[in-house]
Amino acid sequence: MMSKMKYLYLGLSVAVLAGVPWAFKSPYFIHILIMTGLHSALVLGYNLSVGGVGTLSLAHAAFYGLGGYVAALLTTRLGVSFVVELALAAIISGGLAFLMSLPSFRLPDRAFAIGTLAFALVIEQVVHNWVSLTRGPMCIVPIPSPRVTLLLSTWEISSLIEYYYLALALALATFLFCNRLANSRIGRACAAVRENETLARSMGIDQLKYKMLALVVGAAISGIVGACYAHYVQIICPTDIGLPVIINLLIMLFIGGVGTVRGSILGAVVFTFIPELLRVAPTVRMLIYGILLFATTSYMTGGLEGVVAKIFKRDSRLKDSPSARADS
Amino acid sequence: MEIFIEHIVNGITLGALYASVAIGLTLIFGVVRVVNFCQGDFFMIASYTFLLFNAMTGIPYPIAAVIVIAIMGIFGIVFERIVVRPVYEKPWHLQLIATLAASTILKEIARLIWGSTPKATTTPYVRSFFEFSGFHISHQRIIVLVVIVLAFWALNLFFQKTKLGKAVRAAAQNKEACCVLGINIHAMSRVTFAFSCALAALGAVLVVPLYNVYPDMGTSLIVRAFAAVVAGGFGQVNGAIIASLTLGLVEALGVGYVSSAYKDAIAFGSIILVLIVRPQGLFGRK
Repeated sequence: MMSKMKYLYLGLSVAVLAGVPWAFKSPYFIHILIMTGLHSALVLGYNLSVGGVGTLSLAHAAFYGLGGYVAALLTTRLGVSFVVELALAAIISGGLAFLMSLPSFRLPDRAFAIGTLAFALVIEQVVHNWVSLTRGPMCIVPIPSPRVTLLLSTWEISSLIEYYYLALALALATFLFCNRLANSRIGRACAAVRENETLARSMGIDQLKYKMLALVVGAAISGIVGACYAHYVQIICPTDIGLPVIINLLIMLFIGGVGTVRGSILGAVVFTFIPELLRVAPTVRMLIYGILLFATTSYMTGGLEGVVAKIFKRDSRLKDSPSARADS
Repeated sequence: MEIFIEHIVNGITLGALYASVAIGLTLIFGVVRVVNFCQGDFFMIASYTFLLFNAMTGIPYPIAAVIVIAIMGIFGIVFERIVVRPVYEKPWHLQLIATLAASTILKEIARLIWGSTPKATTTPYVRSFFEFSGFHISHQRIIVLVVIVLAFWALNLFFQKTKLGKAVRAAAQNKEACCVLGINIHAMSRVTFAFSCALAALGAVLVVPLYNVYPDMGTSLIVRAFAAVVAGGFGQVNGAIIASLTLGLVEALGVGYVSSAYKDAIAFGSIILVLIVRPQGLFGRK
């Protein structure tokens, strides 16, 4: 549980974040903040399986893109309400993750990574080729603004500031959920599985159950994030599922620091802000991302979170992160 | 019937192409225990280097091919030093992500230098044909078949007979025992990378005159190589060769008689299927 001081900090930062769009009127800056919020929620969900139980799934981008497609298809074809859409995006992404996990978890670690990558690429191919449903490479565009119906009044999320609050709420909800989970019985069981699977099993922890749980919950979260993303940018394409998205996710997770909630958010913030601040051409952007990812995995395995923790001498959590263990 | 035989020849050429990448992948996995996402990009870099040398007038095709293979061998050693050595002692998932990042870097560098549009090159052997009772096979495809069979035979001989080959196999089996017996593990890892890169280059100089070269070609190659390695069993060279040829044939026949839209999905789907049915690979042992 969080202490009273932490609640105070949290309340203060939420108040500051909620006031930001009124202080800075630049639409461009608010756009970056919205993307930061969406990325934070996405990485937090991904961290549940990679940092939480220590399974490297490379299929996460597929669940994200799938959530986007579910939302896009439901609004353009059926016109259902936003809340139903989010629920269905979470259920379909999570359900597919569950189906994928059934055969995948029989595989040893490296084969698991490759198998999940193959799964993501099959989904990309299907979305790309099923033109009658997904319009394939022509993308689904335009995706109308989401409508939230509460009792009798209908509220349409359309302005930049409304999207900002949606992204903020999403990031905050995921943050609280992941934070609560990490300090719960389930979170401790996950950490036990990550640190020593054999020992965890001998303590009566059903490791498969927790691995699946982390994967499915993470996929459901990314489905919701994908749905919000699709509405925000108003377009969803097969490229939102493929390999570049997986690499982006890994960069955010590893630059921030695997295994910690703070690191995940740090990674999302840095990943979204740095290229915008550098104002680099899109052609050079992937190159910079690649170099950053390589540098973090080779020379800075704790990520930024590790650097921050070292500066403040609070590295108790760092010891738990799987990236800090060189001997596994 | 003629069309069927042409599909078969196409399939074997494709299979040889996949095998040149898959063998390197399975070798590196066996010896260094690293899942190397860059293997397809080695092929891409070798193809562009070959384009460079082949465009120069006065260099005949075989000499250009040998130069490219030698350059890629050195490239493999440099790659091992820069990318693999820093993560050699790190956990497996960091190694995997480091090579994934390196793959992105190589791809983007190629895009900056050569652009995104597919490029093609040719040799005198592509446009000359071998004719036999009604069907045509270009001489280039015959060269591919002959050289690839010779290369596989030489590869087996290298691993069975030579001292270096035996040392590489020993390093794959037991690292501690190798250290005790005075086999330099790092040298073996360098040799493996040089060898795998040169093999990708061999595939590139043989097959590239028949296909296009573009920066993203490594991605589709590496996924097929994964399919072959998973099916053949991790670390099994002969398993990877058989699986690559099978995949090439299935793809060529599938494109010829069914549809080309789902040809990528065939490779990815077969990975999943093999992993479900036989996680240790079709030819692998537990």
